[in-house]
Amino acid sequence: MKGASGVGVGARARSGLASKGPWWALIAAFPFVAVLTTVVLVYVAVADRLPEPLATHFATGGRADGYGTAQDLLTLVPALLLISGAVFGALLQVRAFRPATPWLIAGGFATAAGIGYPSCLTLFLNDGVADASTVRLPLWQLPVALVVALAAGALGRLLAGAPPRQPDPASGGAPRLDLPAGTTAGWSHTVSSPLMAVLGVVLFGAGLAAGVLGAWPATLILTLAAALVLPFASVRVTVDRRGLTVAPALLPSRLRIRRVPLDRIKQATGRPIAALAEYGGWGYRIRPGGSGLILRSGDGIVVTLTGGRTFAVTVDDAATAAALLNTYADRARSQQGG
Amino acid sequence: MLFRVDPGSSVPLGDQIAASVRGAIADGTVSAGERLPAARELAGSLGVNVHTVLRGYQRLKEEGLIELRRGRGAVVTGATSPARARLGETAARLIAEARQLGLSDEEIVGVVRVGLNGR
Repeated sequence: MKGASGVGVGARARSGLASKGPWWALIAAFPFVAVLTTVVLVYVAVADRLPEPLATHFATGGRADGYGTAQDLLTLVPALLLISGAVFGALLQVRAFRPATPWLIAGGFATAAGIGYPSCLTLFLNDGVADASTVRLPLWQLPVALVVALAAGALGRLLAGAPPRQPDPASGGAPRLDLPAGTTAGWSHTVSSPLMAVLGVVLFGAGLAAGVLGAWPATLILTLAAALVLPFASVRVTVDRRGLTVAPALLPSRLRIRRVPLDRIKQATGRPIAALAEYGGWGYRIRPGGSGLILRSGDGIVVTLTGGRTFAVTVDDAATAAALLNTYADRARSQQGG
Repeated sequence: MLFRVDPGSSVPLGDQIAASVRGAIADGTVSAGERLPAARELAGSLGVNVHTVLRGYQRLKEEGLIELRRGRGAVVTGATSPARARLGETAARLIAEARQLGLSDEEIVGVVRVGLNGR
């Protein structure tokens, strides 16, 4: 197995594009940056205990049959990542999100992992070995490498989300709520997500377990992840004279997930939302045409913003909320217009 | 659920908030176990005083429609049924009508008692 990870240069080239490109350019660039960082970190961790030269290539029997210096490895890996990153960057054509884009992003993830895993493995196999010719590559590592690459590809595909959907056909006008002048109304509803609750608890549990085992960095990361996921387990959606507010239901109301003020709202509709087909999954989803807090499939408020993007949130009784939002947006507009 | 208040109305704002919740339970928009927004949040939404909201919630608690728990806020009780909430609405209508006629509280209770004795 060739030990080479080429993530570095590619990543830099890609992130240059990403700074001006859309959100998904960042996702596409991420695996290359992450893999380069990982390989460098692994190298730093084992650098003192590496033989010179390293075993870098293995025959089918698992015996080392090719050698190189750590310097070679650290040149080859970034070079491979640069080249593959550039190829995917060229294929992606950052300007437009096309149906193929999620698959290209998935390919980038798989490629970066396919470069990174063998690189790290090579370093680990050589770790603490005096004579590189004694290094063996267990045969079962080959399927593991494949699985790692496939899993990374699947992760990339999930993060990239579904292909863009066609803009909604005019969804039957926007209803208004009958609200006499002078009357104030507020709409409020909670939506809970067992998925997020379970995920949060599992992450937190894993963090505790890691803490017991003494893996403090893992504890920190897992607890942080749990803290990010748990607020989404139950969310309160409010529509009132200030606009649309989405906030964690079980935390002080000062913490908000998102607020859309009235003057940014062009139109609101209540309609069924398909989480997987329209938003490519659950959670806070950011798509080419807009974003949304999608905790389940079904009834949801879809707000078209003045810039043309949309913000959606899945919640029961969305039609009432949308009608009230439209009514208030009308009021805000008539006040502004004089 | 939808809360509506009209500051121009003669009905106290707290009662208007209570009426909104009662109506939502009556038409099934809100079901048992559901949590109402925190008083402070709702007050901000409607632009009314927190105490006004709390008065409305207190009223619903007295009617047995919600439970008020420290830290958990207002939760619609399991005993609540749409029919029970509708009864509360009907009573509120009776009282409003009687007051419009200029009846005192005693007289309103008297009207109900006469109705009960008549059966």
